[in-house]
Amino acid sequence: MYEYIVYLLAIAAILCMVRFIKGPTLPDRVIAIDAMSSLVIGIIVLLSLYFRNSLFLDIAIVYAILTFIGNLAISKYLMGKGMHEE
Amino acid sequence: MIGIIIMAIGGLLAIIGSLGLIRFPDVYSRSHAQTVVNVGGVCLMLVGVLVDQFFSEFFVKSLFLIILIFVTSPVATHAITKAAYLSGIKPNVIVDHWKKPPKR
Repeated sequence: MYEYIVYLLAIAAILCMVRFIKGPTLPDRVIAIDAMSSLVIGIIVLLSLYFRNSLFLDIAIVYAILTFIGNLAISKYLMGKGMHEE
Repeated sequence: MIGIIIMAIGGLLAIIGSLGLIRFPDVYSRSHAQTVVNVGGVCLMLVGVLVDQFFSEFFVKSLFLIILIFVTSPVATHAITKAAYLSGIKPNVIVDHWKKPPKR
């Protein structure tokens, strides 16, 4: 029963991949990657329900924390790039 | 069964949010659609997991994951949009309150 919901999340991830390829600027791509990583978190949770193994949820928690730290690092990089042009 | 229905609603909201991510014209409106994917899609799907697996080890870890996504997702989106403004992308609005006054 859980695999149909994995199909829905995979379609959403493919649509985010279109924006990642098309996106004209760098923040577009960062936003698309953020949406895709949260969809991957949902897929990992459904995988843990499918195999009846709760250790996959720990991987999902660590993935969420790493995504947050990566987004903050990229935003600091973009801020520094804007400051030098003034 | 109720949990499966809530998970399916979350998946449909994720598809709607990523359609908005394709269709919207600007970085800032795209960040709005991305919040729909994060909070409306994945967090609602995790609420479905909470209802489906009531009081097991899945319940506790999913609750922690919901709280984590609710706290970190708006912070990350706000940081990226502020960085996009400071790196020179102009928003498509009428009144821009952050615009610097012209130099004399």
